[in-house]
Amino acid sequence: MVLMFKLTNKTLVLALILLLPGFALADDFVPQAITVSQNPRTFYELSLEFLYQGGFHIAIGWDHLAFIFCLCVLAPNIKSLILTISAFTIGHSISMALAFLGWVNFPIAPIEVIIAMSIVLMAREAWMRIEHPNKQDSILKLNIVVVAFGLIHGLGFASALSAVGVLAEERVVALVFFNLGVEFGQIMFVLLISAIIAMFSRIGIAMYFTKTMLIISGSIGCFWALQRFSGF
Amino acid sequence: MAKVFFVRVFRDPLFIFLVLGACVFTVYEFQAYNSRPLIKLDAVTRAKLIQEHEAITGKQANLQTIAKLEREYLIESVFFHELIKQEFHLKDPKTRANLIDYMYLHITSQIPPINEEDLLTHYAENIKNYYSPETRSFEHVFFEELPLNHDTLLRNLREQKAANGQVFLHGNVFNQVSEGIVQGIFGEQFASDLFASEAKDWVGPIESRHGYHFINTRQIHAPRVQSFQQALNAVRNDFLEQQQTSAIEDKFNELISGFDVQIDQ
Repeated sequence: MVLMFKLTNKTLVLALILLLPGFALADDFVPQAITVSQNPRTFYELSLEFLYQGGFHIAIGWDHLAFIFCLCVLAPNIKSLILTISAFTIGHSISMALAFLGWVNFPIAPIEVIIAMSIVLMAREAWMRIEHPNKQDSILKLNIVVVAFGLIHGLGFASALSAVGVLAEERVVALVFFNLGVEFGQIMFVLLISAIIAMFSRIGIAMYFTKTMLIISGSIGCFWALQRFSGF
Repeated sequence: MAKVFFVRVFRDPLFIFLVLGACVFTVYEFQAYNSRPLIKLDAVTRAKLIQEHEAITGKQANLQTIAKLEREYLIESVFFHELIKQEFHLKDPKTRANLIDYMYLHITSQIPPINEEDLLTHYAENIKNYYSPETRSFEHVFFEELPLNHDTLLRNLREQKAANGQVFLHGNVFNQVSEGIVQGIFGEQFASDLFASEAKDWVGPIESRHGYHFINTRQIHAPRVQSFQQALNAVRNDFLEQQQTSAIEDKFNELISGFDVQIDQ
């Protein structure tokens, strides 16, 4: 525990501080899987359906995309990027499975606020990394923070998955393929952002693009946090 | 010291994000505030509420009653907006059915009044619909139970000999009755057999819902066209139905372009 605390940076501490009042303020919880009255679908139908749902959720989930964009900027090289994205995947896969299967139960409203704040904090971290390239935290520290935020984002994914409507016997398959859909969407987005940054690097405007996108991500994150907090 | 602190705060990207995010939030909330639905209680509505109250209770509304009526109106208006916002009109089958009925009524009420010229034109264009149906005049001999000597009875009837059947409540002779009327009295199978039989020949026994019958179709009356006056009610109903169907189709075609339609098999 002490080791964990030493490893964490200011960002993680701030995130944890945000967690506590959030849980106290909300009374609505991440909904459990809705059991719908229909015939069980075949494995093929189910896998396709939830692969699509996962991909679709990422495609319209601007908050998750903004967070992933910050991760793309934070990672100094491809190896770090793969590690960081994997850390996020590990975090959200664990919490999504736990929440969706009903093993943990968290209030969704503060989770949504924290997801928004995670974008703000990651956008700040990315900005600082650009501004002060010599004052960088280790990749390990970064990935611990990313896993922590991944856990929070996973609760958001679980909420979205529960809203789709799944029969009790379909839950595991739905969970696996929804997660795969999310991963696929994430990878596509990372490839797209990497391609755009590479393209802008060639004409020397990558830095402007990155900084502009970080300001937009951070500001929209603040907006989402205020909006979601006001909805409590 | 303080200056250094503030410089650090202002230069921190978190401060920029917060300021920009707060600005976006303020603009968003301001716009949301201004786009709130208006619930208006004007003088005409208030007068109507008071009038209704006085008509129901028979008492003059005092200030306290008027305040109560206004309060009730606001409560109902707010709840109504909330119902629409939560799409109860789409979720509750009864409300949905009422609204659809209202829409049909709204569309069909805009049909212009029918004049006789329209009816005459409709009659002339659809004259084939205004033929009276084929009718038959027939007599029958009735037995509650299937008679054991039914072959002999049929032979006797064909040879113009008397066959004493039982009393039938509706009588033994029917003149110019349509298949529908026969169906109503005797049942569907009997009507079908009767209208398939040849004229001036005894046949039977034919089963009906009452028992068994030997029937003789005295005359077949072929369908004939009704005069405009005879068919007026039917023409009016048909013309109105045609107008209503047309108005509903026109409205549907006007609105359908705004929807994506998915019909699953």
